Amino acid sequence: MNAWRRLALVYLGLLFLSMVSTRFQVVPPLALSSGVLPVTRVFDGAADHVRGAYETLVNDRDARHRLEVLRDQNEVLRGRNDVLERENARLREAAQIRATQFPGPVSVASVVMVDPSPLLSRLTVDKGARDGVRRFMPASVPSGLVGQVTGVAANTAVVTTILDPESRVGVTLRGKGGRGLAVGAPPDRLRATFPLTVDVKVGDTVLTSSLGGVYPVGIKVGTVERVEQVGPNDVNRTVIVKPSADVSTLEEVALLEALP
Amino acid sequence: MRILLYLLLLVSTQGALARLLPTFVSPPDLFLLTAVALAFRLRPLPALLAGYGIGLVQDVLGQGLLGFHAAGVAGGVLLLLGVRKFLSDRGALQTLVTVAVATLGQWLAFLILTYWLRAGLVTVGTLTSVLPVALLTTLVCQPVVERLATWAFGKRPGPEQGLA
Repeated sequence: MNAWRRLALVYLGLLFLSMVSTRFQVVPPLALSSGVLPVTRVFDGAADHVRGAYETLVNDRDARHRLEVLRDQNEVLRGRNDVLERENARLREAAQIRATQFPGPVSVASVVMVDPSPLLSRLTVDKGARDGVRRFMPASVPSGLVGQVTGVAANTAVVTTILDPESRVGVTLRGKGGRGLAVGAPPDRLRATFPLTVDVKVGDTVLTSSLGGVYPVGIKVGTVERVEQVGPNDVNRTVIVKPSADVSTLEEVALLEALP
Repeated sequence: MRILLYLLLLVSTQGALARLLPTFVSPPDLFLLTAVALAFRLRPLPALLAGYGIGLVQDVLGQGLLGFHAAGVAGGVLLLLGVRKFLSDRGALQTLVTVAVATLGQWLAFLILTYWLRAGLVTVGTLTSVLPVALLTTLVCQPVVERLATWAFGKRPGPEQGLA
């Protein structure tokens, strides 16, 4: 019998011993494992700390990455929010105009260019024929009348404001009536003429009238700022009107459906 | 004294590695590597008995089935002693074969005991998921344990000493 076989026989004996001890579930004395417990506890504690430190590092790295992702998302959402806020403001404006000035279809356009001329007052907006914009469509904002569309391209349109010297607006006085005509008086006023029979006073509110058939009736144009002296040969009374819509600061205008 | 320190280090490191490594990574079997180191330093019978003793220590410290790991480690040593004469003294391949054979012997003993106990200690899932990882981690730790064993138990005997 060679050495390895003898070893195998010894092993069989040991295996038998293990079989018996495992079958009868011999419990090892606790004192033996308790004896090395202080040492193992030190090592286990150190291992726990090392693992904790590693996990903290990994979590920190992940948290930093998540923060970057969330920051990016926040920027995107903030941009989207700005767009929605602008859209909301547009819709509110349109709703207000429909409620107070004109019940028909209203589209809101952004002012993309302002005529640099000190004599003229014209705005270019970002909607044109493709968006259904046509000539003579009135342009307005909730605070008052702005002007009317006088030129249309495919994607843009030109609005001649009521301050432009070529602008003519049929006006009347709130609560007093009377027919007048307002002409643009650059840089920031209108000159309106009323028959002498109309009792115009400073502070009177000027509204659009049906005269000319261009603008819906009743849109606020401005307030009488000054009443000019009437000369002996004058047949009309001239007043200076301060427009209610500040054309110089407009960012968007509502384009109303042109009157038929 | 060195042997005592080595054993303390062995017990502590085995526990610490189990805590350090993620749960899906089986820790290396340092007890088996110690038995392997002794198998190369002792005569066959003392090596086999030492292997059984080391496994027994593992069982006692683990508060598990007394004799389970003892039979496993001794099985690994027995198989290793059987193939030892075919192995060279040094080299990566020798290390690989040594650890693989010892692990194989150990798990064969585990299988025998599992069958004997009619218990689900070793399942097909264990064999496919735990065994390969345990083999790999044990293999990775073998050079370190071998150095420590050299410090504690002395150098391996050379071929001439073995023949003597």
